[in-house]
Amino acid sequence: MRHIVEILNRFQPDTDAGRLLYTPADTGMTCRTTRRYAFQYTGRLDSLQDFVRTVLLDPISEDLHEAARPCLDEFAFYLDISLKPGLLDLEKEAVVQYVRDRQDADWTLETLSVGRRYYFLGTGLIGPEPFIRDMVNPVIHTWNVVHGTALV
Amino acid sequence: MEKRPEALLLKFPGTNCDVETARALDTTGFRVRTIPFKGISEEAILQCRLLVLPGGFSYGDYIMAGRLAQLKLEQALGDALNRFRDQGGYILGICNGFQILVKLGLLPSGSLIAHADGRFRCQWVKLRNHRPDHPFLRALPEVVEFPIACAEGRFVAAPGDAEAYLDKGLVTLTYEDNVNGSSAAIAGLQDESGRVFGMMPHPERFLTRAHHVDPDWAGDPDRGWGYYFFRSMYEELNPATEPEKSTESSQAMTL
Amino acid sequence: MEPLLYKSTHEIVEIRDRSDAALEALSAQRKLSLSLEDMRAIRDHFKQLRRDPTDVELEVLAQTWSEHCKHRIFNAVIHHTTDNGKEVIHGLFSRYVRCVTEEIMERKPGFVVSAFHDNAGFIRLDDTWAVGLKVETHNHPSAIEPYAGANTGLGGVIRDILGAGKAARPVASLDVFCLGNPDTDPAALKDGSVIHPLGVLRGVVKGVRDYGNRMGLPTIAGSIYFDDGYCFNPLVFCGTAGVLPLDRIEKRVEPGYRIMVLGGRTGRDGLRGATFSSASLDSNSREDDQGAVQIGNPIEEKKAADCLLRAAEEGLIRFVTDCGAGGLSSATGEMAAEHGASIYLDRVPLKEPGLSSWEIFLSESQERMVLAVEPDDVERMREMADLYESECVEIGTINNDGFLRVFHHGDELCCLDGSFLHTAPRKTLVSTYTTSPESGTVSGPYMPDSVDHDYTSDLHGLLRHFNVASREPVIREYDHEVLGQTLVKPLAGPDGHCPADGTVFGVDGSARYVAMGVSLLPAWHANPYRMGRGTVDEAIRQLVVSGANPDRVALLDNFCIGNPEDPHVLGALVETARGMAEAAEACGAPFISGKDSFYNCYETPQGTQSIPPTLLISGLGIIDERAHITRSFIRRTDSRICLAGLTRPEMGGSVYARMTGATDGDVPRWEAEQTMTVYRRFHEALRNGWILSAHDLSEGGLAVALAETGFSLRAGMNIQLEAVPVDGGPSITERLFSESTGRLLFEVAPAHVDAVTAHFHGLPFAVIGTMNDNHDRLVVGERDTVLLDEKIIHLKESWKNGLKPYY
Repeated sequence: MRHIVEILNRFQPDTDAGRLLYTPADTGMTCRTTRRYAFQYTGRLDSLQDFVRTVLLDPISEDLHEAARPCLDEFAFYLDISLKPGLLDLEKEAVVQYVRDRQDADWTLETLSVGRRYYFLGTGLIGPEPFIRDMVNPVIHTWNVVHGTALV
Repeated sequence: MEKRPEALLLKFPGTNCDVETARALDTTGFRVRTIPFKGISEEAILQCRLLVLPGGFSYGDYIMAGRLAQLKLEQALGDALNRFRDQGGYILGICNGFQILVKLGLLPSGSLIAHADGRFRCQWVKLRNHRPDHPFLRALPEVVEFPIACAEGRFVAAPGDAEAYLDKGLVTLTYEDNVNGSSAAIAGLQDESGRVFGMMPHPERFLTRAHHVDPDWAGDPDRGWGYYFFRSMYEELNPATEPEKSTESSQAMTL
Repeated sequence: MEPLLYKSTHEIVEIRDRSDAALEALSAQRKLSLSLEDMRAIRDHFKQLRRDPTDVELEVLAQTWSEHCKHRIFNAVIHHTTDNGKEVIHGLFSRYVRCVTEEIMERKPGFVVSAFHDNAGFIRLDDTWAVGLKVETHNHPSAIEPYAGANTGLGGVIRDILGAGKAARPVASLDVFCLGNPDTDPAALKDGSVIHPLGVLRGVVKGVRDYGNRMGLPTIAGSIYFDDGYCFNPLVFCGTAGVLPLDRIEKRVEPGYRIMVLGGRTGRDGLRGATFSSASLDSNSREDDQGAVQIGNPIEEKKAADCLLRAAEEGLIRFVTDCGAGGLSSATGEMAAEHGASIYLDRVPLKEPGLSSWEIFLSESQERMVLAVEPDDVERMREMADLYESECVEIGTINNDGFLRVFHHGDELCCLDGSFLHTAPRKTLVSTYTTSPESGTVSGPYMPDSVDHDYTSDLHGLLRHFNVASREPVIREYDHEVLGQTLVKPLAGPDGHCPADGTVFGVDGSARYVAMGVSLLPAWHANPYRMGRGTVDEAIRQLVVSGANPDRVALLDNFCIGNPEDPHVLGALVETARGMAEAAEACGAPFISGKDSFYNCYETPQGTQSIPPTLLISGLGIIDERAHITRSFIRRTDSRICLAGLTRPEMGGSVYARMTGATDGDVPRWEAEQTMTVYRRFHEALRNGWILSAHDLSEGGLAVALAETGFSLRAGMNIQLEAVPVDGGPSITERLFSESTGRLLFEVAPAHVDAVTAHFHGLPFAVIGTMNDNHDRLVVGERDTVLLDEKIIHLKESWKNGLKPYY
C-alpha cells in the first residue's frame, strides 16, 4: 500500500524565487518548500500515521498534509527534487534505520522515497526551465515539474 | 576527599561539543564523566548532580534537530530524566542539547527550527540575562556575550506562549539583536523548577578572555563569561566554596 | 536474483600473450588508466610468474600505480628547457620538495617529526605534542557534483589525520576554492553540462559546512579565488590540522597483528575514484562517472573517530591508515608492504549483497579506517566500536612472507609481491619555459601620477572586488568555534567583522598555539618562478603577523595544473616549483606534506579549457606564548602605524591591474635575506610587547591593508604616503596598490615608537601614519596633498557587500 505525506512549515517565510537562480533575477515569484515522503508499506495505516506524527512532524511548527494531491492550491508550478536511488540520502537513511530498530511496530516499511517540493507562487514571469537548470544536478537528482492553475 | 559535584555529559553519536564542555566543567571544579549514549544507565544519571547534553548533531539531526535523540532517549530511559530533576538534579542542554530537551518536553512547549534565511550561523551575540537569580546566571551581568553556532536555533511556540514564558520568568536569555528571528527573541529557557535549563548559545566557548573576538574586551581581566556561568553552578552544588565574582582578578588559566 | 553470496566472483585475465595494441585495449576496456609502458611491465611480471593475473590483481595494480596514489608525474624524469638552456630534473618531488625539507631538517633538528611517509606531516609543538596538517584536492568530483565533492573531500582529509601516526586528533579545518567569477553569464559556458560558478560556490560551501560542522571540527581558514580560468575546472582544496602526542608518531606492524576495518560499510559506491581523479573531464564525464559520486556521512565518520581516538588513548592501536583512494586494497597494501598480509573479503561488512570480489577490495566507500591491533585487543576494539554505535571487524592478519594475499570464500584471488606492487615504471616528460614578451617584464611607472585621480573610488572598487571582498556570508556558515580552541577567528574585532590574516588555535595540554594560513597567487602566472616565491612568502607572512615564530613555520604544497604532457604547461609548473623551493629553503620552512592534481582541463568543441597553473601553499606556524597572538585591526586612538618592507613599481598580477584591465607590469620579486630579517625583527618587537596589531600587505596592496586594519572602527587614520619605504621609484598608484612581497603593517603605541624605529634600523621601515580620535576617516596624503579621504565605515560597507548579492 502507498501512503504519501507532505509537511509544510508554518513559520518559514517564502523565499524570493530569483535568489535560487545563478543569475539572480526579478522573477516576480516566491518559492515555498515542503518535505514529502512516499511510503510503500504493509500493515496498519493508523500505526504508520502515528509514526509520521511522532517521528517526522514537529507539531509546534509544521502542518501535516496526508494526501497525494499538493498541499497548496494556487501555484504556478512545483518542482519535486529527490536524490537518485543508490545515492546516500541521509534523511531517508535515518528514517529507515529508525523504523528497522523499532520492534513494536505493526506496519512494515517496504520502500520510502523522500523529496523536497518547491512551490513557485505568484504570476510568474518565467517558466520552470531556469529553475531546473540551476536547482537540479542530473548527476544526482531526479525531478519532476507539475504546472498549476495559477497563470504563468 | 572526592566531594566535588559530578557532572555527567551524555554523548550521542554526532554530539561534538563534549570536549569543550568537559573542559569548562573541569576548569570550574566539577568532576566530569562523559558517557556515550549506548553506555548510559538511569543509575549513572541519578548519582550525578548535573546532567549535561552538549551541542552537536545527534544522529545527524537529519529529520529535525534532536528528534532521534529524543525518541531513543525516551525508549532507553523512559522518564528517568524527570525523576532526576525531581530528586534535585540539574539538567543543562546547550545548542543541540537544548533542542533535545525541548523535544523531550522537559522545557516549556516550543520548537527550535531552521533560521528564516536557511543558513547556519556562527557568530558572537549579546544576550540579556533575565534570571540573574539562577545558579547558572548569578555571576553574570545584565548583558552577556556568547557565541552561537547553529542552523536550527530559531525558537517558536504556539501564539502567545513565548510572551507568557517571559511573564512567568521561564525565559532566561534573550538575544539583544534577534539574529535568527526567535519568538520574543528567546535564546534560553528554564522549566518551572528552574532545574532544567536550555540555551542555544555556547557558554563553554567563552572560558577565558582570549576566546573573545575583541582582544580589548573590557568584561574581565582573565576569564570569560562562560567560566562564571559554570562556576556559579558549581558553587550552588558545593556551598562550602568561596564564591568568585567576575571583578576579582584571578590567575590565568591554561587552555 | 540473489547473487553469488558464498562464492568469490573473479576471473583470470589473459595478458601474457597480448600485443601492445591488445594491452592498450585491455587498459581502456577495464578503465585501468594504465599506460602502455605500465601494461607491458605487468605483462612481463606475470610472464615471469608463468601465470595470468586475476581481475583483482589487475585492479590492485591499476589503483596502486595511479597518479592519485603514486604521484608519478611529480616523480617523473623531466627534460626541462628554458632560455638559459636544458636540464634534467630527476623528479620534481625529490628536487623541489623533499630536498628542501631534508636540508632544513639538518639545520633544525627535531622540528620536523614526520614528513612524506605517513598520511600527514607533523612538526614539534612542544615536548609532548606534535601538530600536523594535510591538504587534499577534490577537483573532479566537485566539478561534477559540488556539494558531494567538497563534502567527501573534507571527510577524506579528516581521515588522513585520523590515519596519521597511531591516530592523530583532528582539531581544525581549512578550505580553498578556485572558481569562475560568480557573475559569469550562463550563456558564456559553452558546454551546457558545466555547472555555473555560483552553483559550484553554493554547493561546495554547503558541502564543507555539512561535513565539518557535523564532525565538530572548526573550519577556521581558507580562501576563495575567483578567475574566469576556473569556470570549467573548479578547484576544491580541503585541509585538516591534527595533534598527536610525540610518542604516537611512529607506527609499525608485526607478523600476527590483526587487521580490522572500522566505521562505514563497504558498498559499490565510489568505485575507481583513484583512477578517475587522474583523468581529464569532458561533457561525457557527468553521465559516465555517476558511480564515482558519493555523498559523505559525517556522523558515521564522527562515531568512528570517537571510537578510534579513545582506543588510541588506551594504547590499543598499533597501526592505522585511512581507507581512501583504492579502498581496502590501498590501505591493506600499505600495511602489507613490509611483511605481507592475508585479507578475507567475506568478513568485510557490506552495505548490499552481490559485490564481486574486486569491488569489495577496491570500493572507495567513505568513512572507513583500517587498523592493526594485537590479537588480544580485537575483542576490546569490537566492544569500543559498539559503545560508539560504530562497527569494527577483523578482516585479516599480518604475515611474514611479504605477499599481499586476498581470499574470498576460500579462493585466493590475489597474491602480489610487495616489491613489484610498489615499483611502478618511472615516467619521462618534457617541459619548456620561455619568457615571452607578454610574460611580465615591462617595468617603470604603471600609471602616471595624478593628484586629480579618484583614488577613493579605486579603493572602493578594490574592496568590492570578488577577490578582496569579505567572505562573511561563507564564513558564518562554518562553525569556526567548536572545540573551544579558536583564538584568532576568521572574522574578529569589536564587532566581529574584521578580516584575519592567519587564524590561531590552541591545543589542550600545551601552552603553545598554532597559526594557520593559506596563500595562492595564480594571477602571477606570467612569471611562475616569482609566483612560487611570492606564494611561499605570503603564507609565511600571514603566520608571522599572527604571532608565529618565523623560525618555526612548516609548509604544504598543492599544485594543480592542466595537461602535464603539454611541455609549456609542465614548464610553468617546473618554474613555479623552483621558485617555491628556493623561497622555502631560504626561509627555513620545510614542506611536511603535499599533493598534486593534474589534467584540470575540460574538452569542449571550441578546444581545451585549462586552468592557470595554481600553487596553494598552506602554512602552520608555532606561537610560543599566548601573549604573542596578534590581531589585524587597529586597537587604539593614539598609536602609530608602521610599515616594514619595500614597495616597488611591480603591478603585474595585482588586483588593481586586473580591475583596470591592465596586463602588463612586473610580477613582484622577492628578496630572501632582507625579508626574513624583517620578519625576525618584527617577531622580536612582538616578543618585546611593542606590537598592538599587525596586518600583512597582500591583494590590493597598502591601501586595502590600511582600510582593513581600520575596520575595527576604533580610530581615524592619517597616512603620509611619502614616508613609505620604496625602491625603484614607484608612482602614487603603485605605492597605494602594488602587491610587493615581504611587507608588514603594524600598530605601535607612542611609548614604543622610538624603540621600534631603532630596532628596525638599517631595514626598510617607516612610521607612515598616526591614529586619532577626532575623526573616523582614512586620510592618505602625500606631503600637503590629500589623495584619498573617506569614512572608514563606507569603505567597510563596500568590503562587506562585495559578495553578498551572490552568496
